[in-house]
Amino acid sequence: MMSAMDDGVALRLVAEDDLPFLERLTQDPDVAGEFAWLGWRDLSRFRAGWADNKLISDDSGVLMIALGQERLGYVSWHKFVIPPSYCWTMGIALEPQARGHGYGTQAHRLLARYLFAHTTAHRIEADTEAGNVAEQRALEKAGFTKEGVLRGVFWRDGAWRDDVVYSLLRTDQPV
Amino acid sequence: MDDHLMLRLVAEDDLPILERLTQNPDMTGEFAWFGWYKLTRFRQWWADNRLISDDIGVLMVVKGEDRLGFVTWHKVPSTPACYYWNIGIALLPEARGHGYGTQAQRLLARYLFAHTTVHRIEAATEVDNVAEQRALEKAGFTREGVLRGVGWRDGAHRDGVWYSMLRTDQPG
Repeated sequence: MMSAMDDGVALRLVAEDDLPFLERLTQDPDVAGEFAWLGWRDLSRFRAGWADNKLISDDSGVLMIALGQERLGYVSWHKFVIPPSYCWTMGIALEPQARGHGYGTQAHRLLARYLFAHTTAHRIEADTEAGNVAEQRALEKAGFTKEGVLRGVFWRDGAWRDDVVYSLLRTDQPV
Repeated sequence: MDDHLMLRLVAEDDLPILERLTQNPDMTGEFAWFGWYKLTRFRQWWADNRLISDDIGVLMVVKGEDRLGFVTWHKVPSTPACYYWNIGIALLPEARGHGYGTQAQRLLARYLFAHTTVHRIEAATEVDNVAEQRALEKAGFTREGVLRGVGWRDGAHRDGVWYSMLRTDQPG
């Protein structure tokens, strides 16, 4: 069931004038937030990707999260292939002012609905750092199931970090 | 037993064994039969780089002259700045149930921790493959969770159990 809060929050294609917004969210430590600041790398990747395919390919994608004219953040997905099958791994980044309003929950739900509608995938996966409680709460409210904690998966701010894995299956009850 | 079990490079005359272990349903066993695909891949990769590259590798598991099966590893990038290894194993039917899988996976972990900077080595198996789960636990791997519907085998989505060994774990 759609809550009233779903009204207005939408996913849309990335336009050229959204690129500075995407760059701020990933390249400015103050905007990225503690769990998404992984250092500077490949600063032109959004521009290059946008010039190449408007940030949508068969294996990955980026969409803006918008509330009317306002930009709240973006969602992304990429293909995780385990032959002979595959699943999607999705991610999200929200503007500091857009956090804590349930927009992340709505955006996850909208992206899952989009991917289940337009691809044959059975599983959509999302993962987040063990300390990122807000994202875990958003995933749970969006209907994702916690599956486990993968230890020492990635490196952030001088230390190896554990990763919590969540999934939503096509056969799960919609929330 | 540990003295005799070894990992070594794949020789050309090992290729039929790798192919039997992946392309013959009677040899692969229930959990490793995924249908036929890229039948010549081992031969091509062997011709190309003897099945060892920076991102992927295959080694034979042997005990003296006896070939028991093979182990594999491949790189999983977790961020653009780091990666870990995912490992796998296949044993010939007559080599199963003797603890060789435990020893081979322990040797492979030791090899990868010695020669690469990784912090994490991961292994996954289907939720009903109890033998491999026991082998991983005996080799010192820690069970981390069950990823639902992550694999496809024999007409159905299958749940996968995830294990890992960290460089900082006590040796198993």
